[in-house]
Amino acid sequence: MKKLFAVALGILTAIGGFVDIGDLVTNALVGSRFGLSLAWVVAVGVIGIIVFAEMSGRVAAVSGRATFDLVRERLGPRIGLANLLASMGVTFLTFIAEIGGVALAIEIATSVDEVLWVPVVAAALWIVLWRVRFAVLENAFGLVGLALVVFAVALWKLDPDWMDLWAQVTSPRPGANETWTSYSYYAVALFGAAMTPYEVFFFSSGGVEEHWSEKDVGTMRLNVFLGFPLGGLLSLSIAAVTAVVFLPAGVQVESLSQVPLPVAIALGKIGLAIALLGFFAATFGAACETGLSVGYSMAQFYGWSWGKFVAPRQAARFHAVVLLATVVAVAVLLTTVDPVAVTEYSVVFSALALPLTYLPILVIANDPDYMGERVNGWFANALGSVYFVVIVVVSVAAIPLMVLTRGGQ
Amino acid sequence: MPTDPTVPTAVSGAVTRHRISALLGSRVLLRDGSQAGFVTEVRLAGGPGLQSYVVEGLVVGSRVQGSMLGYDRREVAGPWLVRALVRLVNRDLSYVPWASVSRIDWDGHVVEVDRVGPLTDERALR
Amino acid sequence: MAERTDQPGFRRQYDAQLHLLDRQILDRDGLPVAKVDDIELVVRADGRLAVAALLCGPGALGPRTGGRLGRWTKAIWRRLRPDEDPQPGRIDAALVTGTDSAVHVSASAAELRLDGLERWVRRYVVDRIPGADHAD
Repeated sequence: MKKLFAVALGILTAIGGFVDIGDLVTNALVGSRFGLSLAWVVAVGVIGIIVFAEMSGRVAAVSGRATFDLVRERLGPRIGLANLLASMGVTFLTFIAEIGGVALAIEIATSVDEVLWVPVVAAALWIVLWRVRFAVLENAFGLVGLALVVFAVALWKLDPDWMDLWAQVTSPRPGANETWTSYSYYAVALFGAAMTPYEVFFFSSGGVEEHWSEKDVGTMRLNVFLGFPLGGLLSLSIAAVTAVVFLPAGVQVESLSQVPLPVAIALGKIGLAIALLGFFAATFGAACETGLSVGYSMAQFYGWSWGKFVAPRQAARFHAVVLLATVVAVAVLLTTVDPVAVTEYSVVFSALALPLTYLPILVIANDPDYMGERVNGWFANALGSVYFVVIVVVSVAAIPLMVLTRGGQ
Repeated sequence: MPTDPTVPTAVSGAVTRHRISALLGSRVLLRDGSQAGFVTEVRLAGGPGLQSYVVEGLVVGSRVQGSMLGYDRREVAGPWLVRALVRLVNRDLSYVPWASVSRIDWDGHVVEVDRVGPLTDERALR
Repeated sequence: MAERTDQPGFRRQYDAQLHLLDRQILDRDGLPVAKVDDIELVVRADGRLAVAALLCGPGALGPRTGGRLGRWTKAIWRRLRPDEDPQPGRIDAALVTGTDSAVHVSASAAELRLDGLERWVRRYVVDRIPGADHAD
């Protein structure tokens, strides 16, 4: 019974924790402009993250080592360093976006400008990272993040034309007002939002934090195979509600405050409050994950002690990096840069950096030195190889598309 | 006069120490002066205890960054794509046993060898 | 760290770059110490090159990274060291108890004294914040 409870908790946490500011903003925006014609990208992205999260989770459970720990071993110091800088850069950009997202969520609720909330959020965030237990941190925000289910409820309540929605899903092409270039650009953005690199750093480092062993591989797989697809459906429901409400009106989602409007329309103030709670939990949780991931990647590259499972003074450099990252993130946000814009850049740069993260995982998961007998089977390798090609294509296309569409115009 | 061949040799009181990174990537020259490639890997064997491991030979490849992704052997499990990529990069590896090494120029990063032989795959050693 | 019940031993043969370099070094309690940034070889009386020590830290990694960045790293590191000819962090090869996916050593991290930066950060940053000694 206790085991069942633990498994259920894991799955629910995975669902609620799946969505971050990148998914929120990108799906909402895409829904308002393209309807559900890019839904297939979300599906492809979710399957992709499942494949690689399972691999990195298995690596953590079997070898007791986290992903970035092993990246330098496989790539050597030079390419490994380039990888570190790029991965840290993208993760840090995402971290800034998440903190901004939390501040925006509070702004919507309080009508007090987000810039004023940034230092408050960052301070709260850092205290949580310093003192709150890892398990509590993960589970709490993951579970409260389930509040985002209100979007699915709102969709049902809005009583949309389901046939029309399905028609959008099955016609993967830009509509009348959009070009193939912008369609492709948003495909890249959605893919980057679904497969953000920090997910696997955090997932595998978290596995080491929680002392996973081979016995935990089954539970880990359940979380990944059940939790992530449902989390993906949550993302899609956000796209669907904006498709139902904004697309016919030709309104583009440009600010986070527009995103919960469909829920307010369908379910009133209560729905709005739940949606905002969900925003807060999803972005705050993701801010924790990205903040820790910045520390994880650097500490694991240099071989420092890291993690919350030792006392902070035993992992001083790790905590100092996280603190420094938080301070710099606040400084960036205090320049009143628009967090939504930062988010849009973070998902595209995530797409760009994907090969750096995922190729080493694919290699490591096949290495009997680390994995013993639990190396990749033919199926995992087949999927991994296919996705590797997809990832390279997306990565190569990211910057040209961004330039051509001038950032998604 | 040291009777134990395994002690470090002292040259005017100081023991000669080198970094293995100075050896990796060195140019490998044959006796006639032609270049055989670059040192892509240093093979160590011996024991017991790591301090008793000695350089047994050098793996020589045609490019400096030879060992790619840790897969510098022919037979590797893994996704077809990665194996194909790795085979491409590690096309022509050869091996120089220690006995064939005549001189190492540590500062100039050059290794002079008598001959270069085929690399026999011994990845399965545990 | 996950509990490893199998005692790590030594391989019959090591390929330096594949099996030793850039590997994580774990102390006798399984805690991370550093990475193997370079390896020191010593010339024996019989002319063989033997493994003398594992080298760690920017003094070792800088030269290996190579290029301008590597040279700068080494230059900065030299500046920060009080000695005339600073040696990089060093773990004697005799301290290595075995290898699996990491290199295990018999001393504790504190005994190895490789953690200058860690101690500095601990003293001037982390220890000043309340709750620094509270583990999860």
